[in-house]
Amino acid sequence: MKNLNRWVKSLILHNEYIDILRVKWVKRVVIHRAFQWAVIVPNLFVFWFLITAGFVGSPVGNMNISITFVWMLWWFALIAILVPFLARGWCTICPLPIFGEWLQRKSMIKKTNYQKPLGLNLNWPGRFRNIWLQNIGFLSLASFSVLLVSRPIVTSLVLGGLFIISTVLMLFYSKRAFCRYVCPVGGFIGLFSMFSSIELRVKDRQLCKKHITKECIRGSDISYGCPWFEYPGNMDRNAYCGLCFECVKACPFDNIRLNARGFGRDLLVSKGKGLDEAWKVFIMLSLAGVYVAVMQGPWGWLRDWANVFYSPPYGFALTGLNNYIFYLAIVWGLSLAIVPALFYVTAAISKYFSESKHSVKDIFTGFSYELVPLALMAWIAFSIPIIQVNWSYILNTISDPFGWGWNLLGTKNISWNPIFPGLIPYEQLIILLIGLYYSIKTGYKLAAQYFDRNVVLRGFLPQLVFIVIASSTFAWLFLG
Amino acid sequence: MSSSKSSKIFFYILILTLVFSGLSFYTNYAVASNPKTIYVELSQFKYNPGRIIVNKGDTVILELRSTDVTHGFYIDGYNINVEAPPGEVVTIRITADMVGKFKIRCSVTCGPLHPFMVGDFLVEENNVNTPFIVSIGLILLFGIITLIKVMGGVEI
Ligand SMILES: [Cu+2]
Repeated sequence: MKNLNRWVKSLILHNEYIDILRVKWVKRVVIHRAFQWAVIVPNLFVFWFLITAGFVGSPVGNMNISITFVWMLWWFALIAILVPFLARGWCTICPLPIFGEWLQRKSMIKKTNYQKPLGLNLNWPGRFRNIWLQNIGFLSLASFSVLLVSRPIVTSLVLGGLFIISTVLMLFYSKRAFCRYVCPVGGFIGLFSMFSSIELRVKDRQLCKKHITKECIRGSDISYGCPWFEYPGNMDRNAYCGLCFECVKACPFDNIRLNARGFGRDLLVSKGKGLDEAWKVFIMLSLAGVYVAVMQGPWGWLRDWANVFYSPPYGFALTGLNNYIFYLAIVWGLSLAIVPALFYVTAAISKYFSESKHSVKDIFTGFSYELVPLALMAWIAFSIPIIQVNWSYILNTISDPFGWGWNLLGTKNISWNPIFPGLIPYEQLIILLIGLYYSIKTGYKLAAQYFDRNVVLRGFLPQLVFIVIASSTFAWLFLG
Repeated sequence: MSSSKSSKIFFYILILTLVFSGLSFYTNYAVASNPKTIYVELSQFKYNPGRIIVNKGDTVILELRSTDVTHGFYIDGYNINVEAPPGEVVTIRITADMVGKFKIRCSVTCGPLHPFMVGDFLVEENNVNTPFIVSIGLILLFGIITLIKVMGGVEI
């Protein structure tokens, strides 16, 4: 209780790090070799069940548990709780790469001889050691997101496909190359994790520097080397830490801490910044707007455009290909070209105002991270009505997972009844204001890093205008 | 540049931003003048018109007609929830006594995209969407306060 209190305080005041691993039972749990197995296996059964439901159950999204659990419950929990508070906590329990990992290790729990992993154990190709594949993967999923979130079978095909791709890739490439470089979900979780209020770091970097054997990278008798290709000794961003806790098991000096901390700290770290991540920011910011417009907007024609392959009542037939191509142009053009171009202009004006020695490209890349809080909050705002309005569908499908008319727990007939739906736009506004706060704070601190001390404000003003316009655009979508 | 000059520029930019953000684009919409009947067509998965715009105090009569399957017509916060079977015309009467944007939602499962079948019921005050204007004002105000606070706390 005292710890919780301090955590809340540190979130608000941003002045304290609290080592959660000092709580004895937490540490004992995460260093247990069966920890990850124990959290993934139940999840794996749930996933299998959901995939099956998608294939055999009702084709109507809100009557099939695959849709209500994945795109209502899981999605909301992921974006509004797991990512902001637990960084890549989802990756800790994600079942997708687990077959691959078990096969690589030839073991589910025990540490086996790491010298001879199963599979080819190739190094991931250098030119793909970035998140561009994840950017493209996410945009590809977004291209048929309306089908994905409304058709159980599409959800099952995608989840099943990811199971297969991850397993196959992990038999070719070493460790969790799939998670770090390919998984379309992992890309944005990593980006938003940098905002998160938790971080895994070392206590004393000097100790790591002097430590020759580095079990956290190479593994030991009791642990595997970092499956995410990270070296905890110099890690200062959450982006690619999968929170598997192997390094906590490995470190002979007990030099790893899991800190509760203030939001958004990693966004100020310059090491590791790149255009691939910058574009991820623009993709997430743009798609938040597109999703609100398509799925919660009054524009039925836009929904029709996105809902290609529609044939009444529940079938698939190619309709309106021309309009769908327009829709694709919006999704890809906005996130890959238009929004980045507007931000590039902003960066150029910042350079002009501040007379900075940094190149426009450096300012463009560096400052793009200021938009992470706003993008995350826009996604949370988008996700609020999913639960507040449609919570009953989740309960209905718990009793009748396949839409076959069962009533296992008596919740089948709970009627659709949104909770205070009139308040939703105002909740969304408050969430946006939180994003605005952290974006301005991050942006100004970045300006203090990049610009000479007497021109920080001048250099930041164009960024401020961009942040305000972006926030206002979302306010217009929610309240306008 | 002196600090008063730069803060002037800052406020000009903010005002420009305000004007810019105030320019909103609307889909095909219906504006009710007192008392008016609006014909609304319901189909998978949209309302036409998608936005119904009225002024506070207006009484509107909505004639709902579904062209395919049974849809629902629910308005957030307005305690309205009716079903519209295909072919029938269902008439409802609404007195717009609350200002703001309220989502119209389909309340009858009508197909795969049913949860996304939404429209807007926008109640303005003298043709002004007050909550939206206030929200833009809040964004600007909150932005300035944040900036001042951050400027005070960052060593530069
Ligand atoms: Cu409907």
